[in-house]
Amino acid sequence: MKGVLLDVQRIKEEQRWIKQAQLGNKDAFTELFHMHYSFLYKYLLKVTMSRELTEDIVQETMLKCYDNIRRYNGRSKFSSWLITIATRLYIDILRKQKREQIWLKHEKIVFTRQLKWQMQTDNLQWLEVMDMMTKLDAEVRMAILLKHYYGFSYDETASILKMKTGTVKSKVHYGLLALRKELKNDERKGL
Amino acid sequence: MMSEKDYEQQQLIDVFATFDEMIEIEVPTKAQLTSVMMEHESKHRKAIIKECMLFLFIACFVLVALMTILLETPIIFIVVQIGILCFLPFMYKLERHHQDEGELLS
Repeated sequence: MKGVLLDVQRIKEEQRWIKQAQLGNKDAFTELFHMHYSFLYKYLLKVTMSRELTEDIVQETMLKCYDNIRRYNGRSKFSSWLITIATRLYIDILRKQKREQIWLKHEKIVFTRQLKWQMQTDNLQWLEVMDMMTKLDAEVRMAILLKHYYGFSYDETASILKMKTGTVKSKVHYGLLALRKELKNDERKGL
Repeated sequence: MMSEKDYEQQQLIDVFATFDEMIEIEVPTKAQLTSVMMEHESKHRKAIIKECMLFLFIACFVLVALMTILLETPIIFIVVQIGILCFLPFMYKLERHHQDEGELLS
C-alpha cells in the first residue's frame, strides 16, 4: 500500500516536472532527467554492452530530449519515450561506418570480461546464456529486452525499433531459440 | 506448475535482473547535467547565428547579381562589391584587436 502511494506520488511529481520543463524550466528538466538517469543507463548498457558508448548515448539522449521536450505528448510513459530516443540513436550508430563496428565489438568483449570478473568476485555463477546474450545481434537483443524484460507489446517494440511487427516477432523468436539452446547446454553441463 | 517456456523466460528475466543489480552507476550531479545543457544551448545558438549569416550573405549576393543584370550596372560596381567583401574580414579583425586593447587598458 505504501509502495503504491509512493509510486503515485512519484508519477505526480514527474508530471509536474514535465509540464514545467515544457514551459522552458531548465531546473525541472534536470530534475526529470536525473530521476531517470539510472534507468536509462542500465537499459543502454544492456543494449550496447559498452560503458563508453552508453555514456555517450545517454548524453545525446538527454540533449535530444531537452530539444524536443515540447513534443512529448504524454501518451506513453516518459521512460518509454526516453528508451525510444536512446534506441534510435543507437540504431543510427550501428548503421554508421564499419570501423566503428569493429570498435563496438571490441568494447563488447571488454565489458563482458569485466562483467565475468565482477560476477566471480561476487561469487555469482556466470551462465552460458549471458555469454550468448552478449553475442546476439544488437537488434535481436534489443527486441528480446524490450519485449520480455521491459514488458512492451510487440507493436510497441516495433515502433521503438522502427521495424514491422512481424520482423520484431521473428527476431524475438530467433533470439529465444538461440538462447534456449544455450540454456539446455547450461543445464547439461550442470548435470 | 511453470511450463518450460515460462521457466526459460523467467531465467532470461533473471539474467537481465542480475545485470541490473551488478551494474554500478555514477549518476552525475544536477549541476553537471545543467552545465552540459548550457553548453549545448550555446553551441546551438552559435550554429543558428552562423546559418543566418550564411543565409544573409547568399541573399545579398543574389540581390546584387539581379540588380547588376537588371540595371546593367557597370563592371566596376561588381569589382567594388567583391573588394569590400574581401576586405570585410580584415576590418572585423582590426576592430576586434582594437576592442581587446581597449579592454586591457581599462
